[in-house]
Amino acid sequence: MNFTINDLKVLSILISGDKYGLEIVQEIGETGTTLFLGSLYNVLKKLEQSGFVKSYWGDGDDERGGNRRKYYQITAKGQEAVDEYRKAFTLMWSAAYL
Amino acid sequence: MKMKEVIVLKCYGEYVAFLDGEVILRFGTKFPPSREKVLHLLKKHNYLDGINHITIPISANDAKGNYQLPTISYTPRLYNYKQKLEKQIHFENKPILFRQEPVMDDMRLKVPEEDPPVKLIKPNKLASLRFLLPKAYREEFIGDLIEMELILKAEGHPKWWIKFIMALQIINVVWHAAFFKWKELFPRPEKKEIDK
Repeated sequence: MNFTINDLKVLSILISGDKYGLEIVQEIGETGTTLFLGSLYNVLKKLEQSGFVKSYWGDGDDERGGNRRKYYQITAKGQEAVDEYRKAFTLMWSAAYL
Repeated sequence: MKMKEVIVLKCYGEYVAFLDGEVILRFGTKFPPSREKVLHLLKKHNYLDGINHITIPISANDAKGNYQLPTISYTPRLYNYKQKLEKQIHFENKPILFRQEPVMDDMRLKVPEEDPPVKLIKPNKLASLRFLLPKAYREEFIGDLIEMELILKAEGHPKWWIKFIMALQIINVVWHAAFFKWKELFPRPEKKEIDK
């Protein structure tokens, strides 16, 4: 599967632990780029259907109007894919600066 | 009575709150947290009991009273925390702010007995969205939207800006869902060949 830049952003954020939608958007925002919730949900749905992430529901929270948080977790397949991309990028950049 | 104090600092590029030298809350790298947000999160995570003071460096205030750049102090615990941060992939390329000066000129704020009232969107107001939003992430999105409003209010943004951001997020979700469906960007389940 070919990843988009948004796919890679989301996967790299999920490496550090299970996170829910808004948390992922905030962490991506901290890296200086923007990702709207609309794009994020579709990216997550796509990655989940392809088996790169899996999700589970958390508990309901009064501050969220009783709505539950849906946490996303990277799978071994997702981790492998990120590692492959990282190696490829490292090779590419090292070749570019030779 | 033993004094329990929460200190908010910018540590290695990230705004964090310390209690007894341990990091108890993280506020991200972009905006320093407001006092209301710190109080709200302390209560949410059951840290508020017994806390006498919240300390935020006075150098963190600009002319308008907004918090700017708190000082960073050096302790072995912070050093360990820095190492933990650096192990995470998305922190690798961030500049690490690190000074060895002690924190000076603290501004001590008394913790009020009651939290400031925070008004949230009533879930009923979002009920009409159920016809617009895709079923797959309706509950998740409405929850995130309500939480986002709480964060924006705690950061002290004006009402019109909060409404604008919320509207933008709703439009964005509806548009993206329609676009992905129209362009068939979701992977299709593999068809099984049937031997006849």
